[in-house]
Amino acid sequence: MTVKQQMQLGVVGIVVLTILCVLVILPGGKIPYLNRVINPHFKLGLDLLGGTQLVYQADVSQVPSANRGEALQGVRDVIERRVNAFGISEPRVQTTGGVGEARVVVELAGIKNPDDAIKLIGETPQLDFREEEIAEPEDKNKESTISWKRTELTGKNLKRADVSFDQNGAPDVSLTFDKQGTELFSKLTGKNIGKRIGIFLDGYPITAPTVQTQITQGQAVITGNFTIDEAKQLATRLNAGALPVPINLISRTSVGPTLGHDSLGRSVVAGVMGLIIMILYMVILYRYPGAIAAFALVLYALINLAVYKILGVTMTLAGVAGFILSIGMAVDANVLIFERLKEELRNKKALIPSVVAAFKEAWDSIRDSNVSSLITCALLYMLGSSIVKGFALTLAIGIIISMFSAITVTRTLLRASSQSIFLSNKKLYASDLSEEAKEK
Amino acid sequence: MRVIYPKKQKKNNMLSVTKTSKYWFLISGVLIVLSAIALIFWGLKPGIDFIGGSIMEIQGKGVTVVTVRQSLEKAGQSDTEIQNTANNSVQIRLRLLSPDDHTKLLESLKKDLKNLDELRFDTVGPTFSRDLLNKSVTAIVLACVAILVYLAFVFRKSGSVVSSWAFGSFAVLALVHDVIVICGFFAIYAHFFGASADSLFITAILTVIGFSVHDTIVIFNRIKSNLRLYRMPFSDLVDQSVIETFTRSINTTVTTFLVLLALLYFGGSTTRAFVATLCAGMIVGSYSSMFVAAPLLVLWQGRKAKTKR
Repeated sequence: MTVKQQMQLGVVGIVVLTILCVLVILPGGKIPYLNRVINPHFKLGLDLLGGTQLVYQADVSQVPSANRGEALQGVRDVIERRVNAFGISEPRVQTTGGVGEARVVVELAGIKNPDDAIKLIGETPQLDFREEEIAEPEDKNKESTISWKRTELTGKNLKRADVSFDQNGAPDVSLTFDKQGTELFSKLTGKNIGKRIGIFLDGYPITAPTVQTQITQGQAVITGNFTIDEAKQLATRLNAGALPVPINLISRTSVGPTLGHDSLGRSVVAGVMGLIIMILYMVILYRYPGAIAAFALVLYALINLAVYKILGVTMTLAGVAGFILSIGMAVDANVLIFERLKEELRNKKALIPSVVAAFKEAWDSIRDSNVSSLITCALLYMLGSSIVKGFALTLAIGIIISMFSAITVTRTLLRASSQSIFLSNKKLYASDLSEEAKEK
Repeated sequence: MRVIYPKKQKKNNMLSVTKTSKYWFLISGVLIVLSAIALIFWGLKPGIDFIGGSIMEIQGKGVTVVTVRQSLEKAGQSDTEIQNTANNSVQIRLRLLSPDDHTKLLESLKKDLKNLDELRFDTVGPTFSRDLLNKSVTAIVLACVAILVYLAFVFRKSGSVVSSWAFGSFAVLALVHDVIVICGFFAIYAHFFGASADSLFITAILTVIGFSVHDTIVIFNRIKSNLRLYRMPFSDLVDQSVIETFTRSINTTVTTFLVLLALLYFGGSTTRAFVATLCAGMIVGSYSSMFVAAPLLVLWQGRKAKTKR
């Protein structure tokens, strides 16, 4: 492949990349295949959307360390179920790891009365066992109504629930009761042979097995065509009700819809203005190469947005600040290169070798500056607060992408154009060249 | 050993940082004294994310510091701090509120102030704040260690004229200068516009440190390589190096400053204090690299030469 062909290929690649980024960014995703792979919309943080973020600390000190992860997962499931019952669209409930940390982060977008939701979530999970009562209707044509009567047996009496396997290797769920529970369960099963026992979590039935025989030993097995996942889920739910893991609200952030909407609008304007200012700055200062850098900058912004969408990066106010700051830094690389280019041209080098040398010489400075910034980002990410993480993440993504856009893209376009006849006038690349020459 | 160097003429019309150094030291001295005064008198109030508590931001017709204070006193909320924000709203800082307390307080506020709109409500408990404070301290310590390691690596070999130890020390001194001035700036900003030193403030400081140390390294690196290239008085050589890196330093600062300005002017109100701190930090950071770190190097080198004689 000749140099010229390489250049042409590079230019084609840049055009394709630009189109691809635009397609990814367009709302709803215009390519049917892409829709399935990536989110059709940008993930917006609660400070832009309006909503409430709650951080809960689960007290797992009473739980043996081997079961802590499971217990936390149980808490998460309970919270999610309660939040869902509250009717909020797309709640996010996540556990956060870390040594000695057992936390659940709940994000509720667009919620109007967070205090009520907090109360609902804060209830300790309640597991109880209920008896089936079938009321025979007087009219024989109607179906009999089933109601569930509470018993004394509750989650307090359930020691643990596990996934076990029968002789055939089919999964089932085994229950172990404490002393009081064994007695109560024995009574309950003795009374209800052939009938169902409802197991309720927070007032919702999670399973209702039929009693085969009286169970006196305090150990029971629930069987019935479980898949392993179903059995695991049931055991987790039973444990969530059974495990007395108190949760504690340790942090809460609510942003009203007014402020969120306002912040979103402002962020978009700030981003666009930042981009326009940088484009003007580059074009005024460096003329033709400046215009190329400006194009690289637009492509930089497009790639960034596409990456946010593909990776599902949550955009927050601090995240936007990181992104906008990285625009300024992306320009810095081009400034370094173009200053070098001017210097090379003043030393009366030909255009093409000057371009090559400028990129080569500026590379060290660009690399050093970006590496030190990336170190800072990594440290900030460790700082851990979600606001700071958002800033560090977008800044780091921006820095990495800027290495590509400000260097590779600009170089390809500059080299390609310096070989074309129309764009090979040296004055295009260094505006003050003629004056310098006169001085000499 | 005989060596031959290219003759390098200093451009006369250019600024000499070393000859005017007393003015720069004076400016820096004034900045540091002002910062110290601001810090002593107004202080840095730690954000609720570091010490726990609640913050409520409300807006609406008739919602002013005075009316809000009256309403809060009626509701029996003492020990509150009420401030106007740049966002045309009122910010209240109170003790840790439970969800019930919050509902009650909001209801009682709404009774007095009909058009009230709650923009924001944050609550941070003691577990969370203690944890974040620990993490922040760790991050700051790690950042300092990382910078020292980075400096030691960059200046591991330097010429005979200036020891690598001196390069490193003055780079650190410039950083200390920056941090003091940023803290002072923030104390003044917080006093007039209402802000507290939260985790975003720490982020701003760490980001500025990253930028500033790099600025200093670029200049010092140029001094190092010029030491090998040219034979001229040390102060001229430093001037030369500052001038050669001047365009780059100014451009970096200007581009980042311009985008930050866009963010400050158009961007969201919640991050305004953060962006303002970054703005101030960028300027101080690149100022200190050019006008503090480099002249200090000359001053120190001159002293050393005198004692040797």
